[in-house]
Amino acid sequence: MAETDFKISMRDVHKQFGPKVVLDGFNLDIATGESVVVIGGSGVGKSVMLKCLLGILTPENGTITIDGENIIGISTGQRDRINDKIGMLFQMAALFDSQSVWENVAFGLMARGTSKSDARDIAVAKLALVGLGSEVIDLYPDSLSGGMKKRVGLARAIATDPEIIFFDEPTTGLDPIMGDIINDLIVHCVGETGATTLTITHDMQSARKIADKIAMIYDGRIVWAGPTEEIEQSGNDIVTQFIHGRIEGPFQATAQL
Amino acid sequence: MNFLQPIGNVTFAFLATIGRLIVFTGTALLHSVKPPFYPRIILKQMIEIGYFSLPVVGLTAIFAGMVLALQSFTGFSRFSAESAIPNVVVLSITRELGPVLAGLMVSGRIAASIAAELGTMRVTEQVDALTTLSTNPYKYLVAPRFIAGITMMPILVFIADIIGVLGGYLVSVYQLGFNAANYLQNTYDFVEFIDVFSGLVKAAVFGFIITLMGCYHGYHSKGGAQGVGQATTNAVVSASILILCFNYILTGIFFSIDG
Repeated sequence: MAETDFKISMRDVHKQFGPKVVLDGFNLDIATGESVVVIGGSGVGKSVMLKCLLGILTPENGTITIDGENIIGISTGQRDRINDKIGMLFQMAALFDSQSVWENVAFGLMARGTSKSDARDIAVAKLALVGLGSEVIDLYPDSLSGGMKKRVGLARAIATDPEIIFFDEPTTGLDPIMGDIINDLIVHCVGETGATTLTITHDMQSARKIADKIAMIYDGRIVWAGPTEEIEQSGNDIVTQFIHGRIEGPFQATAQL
Repeated sequence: MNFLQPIGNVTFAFLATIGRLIVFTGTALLHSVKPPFYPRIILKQMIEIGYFSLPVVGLTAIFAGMVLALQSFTGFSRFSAESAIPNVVVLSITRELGPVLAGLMVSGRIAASIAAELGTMRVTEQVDALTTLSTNPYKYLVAPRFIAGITMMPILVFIADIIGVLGGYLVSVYQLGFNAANYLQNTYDFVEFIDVFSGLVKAAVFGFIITLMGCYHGYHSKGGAQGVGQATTNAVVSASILILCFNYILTGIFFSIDG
């Protein structure tokens, strides 16, 4: 299929920092409404891939399209238009310290011209969707627990009803129960909005719960991709080693570096 | 030939930094004059840079004025020129000590604060979050600080000039026995528009340097807490050195205009 047939398409993407090659012919296609999880070890290029999609990093080669539109080398105005379609949950939530919970959630709405009172109402509704009541809306991020920050981050990511949502390690730093709650919230919220999602994680429980499709990144490229239910029978040694958390296997060389 | 490699590396790193700084400055200036603006954030930064710097700048100025009067008296009394003290105080304060001391003190306070705040935002991905929320970080974080720095520093220095002259007046009148009315009349008669104006121009340039160094080092910080600490140190050191360099350059320019 052509890259224009997909909501998000990355073809032959190359990115390196000095001599270190991070993405080396990376390919990934995501259909509209699909939930794709990219798994991989630490430092294999998952975050770099996401930053290339967000326009924070520019790849040296390859094409990245969103809704068929090339997003590499576009103007700030064009980038803003693309970003209007995107919501993002950061690994550590990345809430603005100087703003209250509701202001954090409403930030993207007000940036797009929504009035303060309407933005506050929407923020309260989105916070309710992630299980946070009115008692937290005027708190500041430094008084929230890790799980609550993730919830606020999730509310901020879905506040503008984006067509695309990126999740960067959504369960990292949380206990297993809170991690599972966040997974459920992601599934629930994405179901509500019908958004296309891309999640990067190394938490297999999270991946199995969130994903329609899982892709494994290794050595700067996708080494296996397929439906979630087929990952156990991937037939790929790297995938098998990773999902079972075994020390021995082809992944070992990278781990020892 | 191996000894050439580190020299080359350092040269390239220096040139890359200069290039990054020029691009950063150009981009930030462009966003400072191009709408949309964030008046609430600009006002907040003006209060932070202007109002909250008043105590430190005021204290610096009054003591500078007092010391200046005492030291001038020590020197001038050796050739019976004590009457020149009001002139020396007002000239030194308005042209040099007001802007330079205020610049250095505000540099320690504001460049450090900006670098630490932006640096923390950078390493905790808050700057990236702004981008994903359709908000340009230059416009939201850098431009308001530029505008506040350039506008508030001249106001701060003008106040510092008054307080510095007051410091000289207090010492001269209450410790050295000058006639109060004569002191003030001498000060008023001697000071010229260019004396105050040149100091205010310097102040605007120093405000730009302080906010530029704070924003640049904070925006480009990396590596967690250590990186933020390094960015803060670099911001204060580079701002202070640049203030002293540009003070000489601006003094030279005004010197040639006077001449």
